[in-house]
Amino acid sequence: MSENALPVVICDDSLMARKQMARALKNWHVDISFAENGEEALTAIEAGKADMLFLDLNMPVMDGYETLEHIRARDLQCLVIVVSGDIQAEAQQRVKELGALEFIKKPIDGDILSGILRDYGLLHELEGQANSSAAPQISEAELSLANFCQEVSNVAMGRAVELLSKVMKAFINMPIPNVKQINYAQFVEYVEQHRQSQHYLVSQSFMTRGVAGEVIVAYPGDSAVRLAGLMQRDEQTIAKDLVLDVTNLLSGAFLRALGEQIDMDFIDMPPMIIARQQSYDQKKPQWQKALCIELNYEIEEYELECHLQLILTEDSLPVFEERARFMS
Amino acid sequence: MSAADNELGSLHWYLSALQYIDVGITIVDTDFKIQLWNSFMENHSGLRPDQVLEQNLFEKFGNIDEGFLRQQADAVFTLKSKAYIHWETHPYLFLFKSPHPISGHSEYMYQNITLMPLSAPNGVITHMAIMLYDVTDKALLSSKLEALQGS
Repeated sequence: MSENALPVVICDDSLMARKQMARALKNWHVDISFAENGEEALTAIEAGKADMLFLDLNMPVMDGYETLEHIRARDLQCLVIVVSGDIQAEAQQRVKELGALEFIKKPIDGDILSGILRDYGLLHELEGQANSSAAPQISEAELSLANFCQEVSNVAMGRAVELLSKVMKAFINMPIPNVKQINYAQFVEYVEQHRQSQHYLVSQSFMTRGVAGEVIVAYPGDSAVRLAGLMQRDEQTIAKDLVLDVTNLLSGAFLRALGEQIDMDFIDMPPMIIARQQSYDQKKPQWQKALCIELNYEIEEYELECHLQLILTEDSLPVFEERARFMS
Repeated sequence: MSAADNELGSLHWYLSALQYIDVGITIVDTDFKIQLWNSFMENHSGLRPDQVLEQNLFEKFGNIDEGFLRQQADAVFTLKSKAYIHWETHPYLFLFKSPHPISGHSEYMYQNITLMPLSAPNGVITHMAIMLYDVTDKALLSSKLEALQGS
């Protein structure tokens, strides 16, 4: 490692995102360390490993906003560039107020990054040679399907939330997608629980070549008036109409954004309320396992919380795995 | 914009609507070679147009009852009239998975099929359209009704 490489920390909870960022920096004279959340980033800064910090916003333990507050409060000498999928105008403004130098949207575009680094005269570009010492190696095996889904969901979420906030004219707290495997019994239990607690459950099927699944959104039974407010509709609007329309927006925005990233054009079908009289036969499972991407949309202004699950059939997973290998 | 541009524009919308309609459209020639495969068929079968076009329908989809479909198609090609296949007697022509793979209660898609003659400009029937309607919800509902009446 050369003596005067600039110490840089890449802070992101997603392995794929850290890897993409490290790759984007490969032609720059830097010494990269990684952090998985804000706390780790602060420790790294204090250890002198970060003259520059690339900071994600939505992370567990300590998110990007808090990290920025700590950097300011402790007066740490570190230039921060926020790298986020949450591109709502309000998020960009917030981080700049908190002292971030720049805001770059995910996924990273190498040219945009280089432009910014050059503009600020922060780094010296390596002449024609790759900086082999830069990035600690991340093994390919670690980049599992779940990791891949996590990262593409994060980015999709950011785009979806940006569009939704424009349509709904409200700030949407950006949820951290949670990726997990579920089986039929768990799905049935989820449906039964929500039925008993008087939730509306709406399902919207989607598919594209070789990939199929459903988006399932749960709304508390008493949310109709608040949904009407959010959608700028008359309070008399039929609750069923509202939950169907909102589902179509939430799932449509997310599916479109997800599809753009993995180059798949999802076709969706009309949303429908999962009928109350239909009950599931647990002894005769329709399917074994499925991959579930779970999000909690929160819209504080309207005290609304809707739980969204994007469930992919087992048959769809090999197609996703192939995409993951191709893209990472 | 000229009139020709306008016509081209509307042709474009027209074709887009056919491509993305929620109905399966397959067009075959008299040898049952597939000539058109719309997005509904592509998405539900998982096969791209380039994987099926110019291929024989029965070779590509082995589970189609060839004798039965040829019989139906004979009427379409010779009488120039439409033919219908109903889900109650033939649940499906193409074996597709359920349109609601997670919350649904069926393993496959129930289908109504309409076979339609298509003529060349000189009036001769050269092709047949296979229109596929997803009637899974209807089929499940009516089987549930039957079960209720039976009990």
